[in-house]
Amino acid sequence: MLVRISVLTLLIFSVVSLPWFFTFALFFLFGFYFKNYYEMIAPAFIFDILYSLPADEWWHPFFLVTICTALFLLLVGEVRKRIFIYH
Amino acid sequence: MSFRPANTSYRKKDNTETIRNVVIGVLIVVLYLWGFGLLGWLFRPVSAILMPITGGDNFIARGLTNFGASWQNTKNLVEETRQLKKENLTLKLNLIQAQSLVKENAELKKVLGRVDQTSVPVIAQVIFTPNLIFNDSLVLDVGDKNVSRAIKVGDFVVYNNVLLGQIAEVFPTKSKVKLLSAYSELSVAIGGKNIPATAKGLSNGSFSISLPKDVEIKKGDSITVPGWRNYFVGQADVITKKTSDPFQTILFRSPVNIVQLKWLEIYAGQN
Repeated sequence: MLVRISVLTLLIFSVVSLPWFFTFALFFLFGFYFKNYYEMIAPAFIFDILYSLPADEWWHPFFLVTICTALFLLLVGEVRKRIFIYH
Repeated sequence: MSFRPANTSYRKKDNTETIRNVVIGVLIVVLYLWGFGLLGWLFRPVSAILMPITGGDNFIARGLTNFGASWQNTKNLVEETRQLKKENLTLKLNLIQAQSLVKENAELKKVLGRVDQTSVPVIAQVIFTPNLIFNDSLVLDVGDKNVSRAIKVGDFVVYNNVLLGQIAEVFPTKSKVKLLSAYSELSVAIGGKNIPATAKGLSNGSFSISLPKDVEIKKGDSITVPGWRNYFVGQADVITKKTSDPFQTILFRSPVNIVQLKWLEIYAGQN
């Protein structure tokens, strides 16, 4: 529990201070490492609130990173069931 | 005699996962359709809470840049310094000449009855930039309530006479800037002949222009935005021509390093 909260704090810090590709790499890594890490949607939400701009294109909603993170977590949940290292 | 079929499970089916997936699916749809309208106001409290973390300074990005520079060969650095000093002197002389031309231009406009309405700029500090830009946006520390001239959507954001972007959203004490490289189409003029073209933003301050091959463009031709007070945006950097292609591709980037920015100027837009 404590580890998950510490990692969440790290993710929020990285959203604000670290390069975006580093942040996304952390999202990817911890999404696979922790089971059902839906807390990760919070830093993704913060990323969108701070940096996102409204756009007209249908493929670029305001909460693009949040939506992609939520979809990623749903996908990871299914992948984890099928990979032997998680059993 | 009772008959019980084999392998019968009396446990209730666990629907937690299905419910969770449905909730997340609904959340995604709501965010996609109405996210900005419902939750866009959260920018103020979130930025106020997180501002102490950065203190308005990209110290990590600056540190990474300085660390990279320390690995360069000493000999290369000496040669580069010599070249930069020479270039600096030339630029200083050009600047003096340019300043006198700007002053003369303003005076001539006054004589002809065209009053310059650009006014004194509002100076703003960059407080958030997603280091090595992802969304091509910046957050500034001025809004429509905490400065003498209220910031409005459409105001120009400039650094050293180079146009960087426009104000896209305004809050009482902060504002968001949409950088030019976020625009998919930008009308520009190239070189001394003001050749009209459409630049496509490639994000992170880079742009590309596609023109017919027979249009003469030289490396170093200045590129301006005629619709926005002829602000300078860059110089033609790479020109690619292929024999099989009737078009040439011109690549250029903003001369300003967005990551190292701290202070910007905001001029009134055409609104």
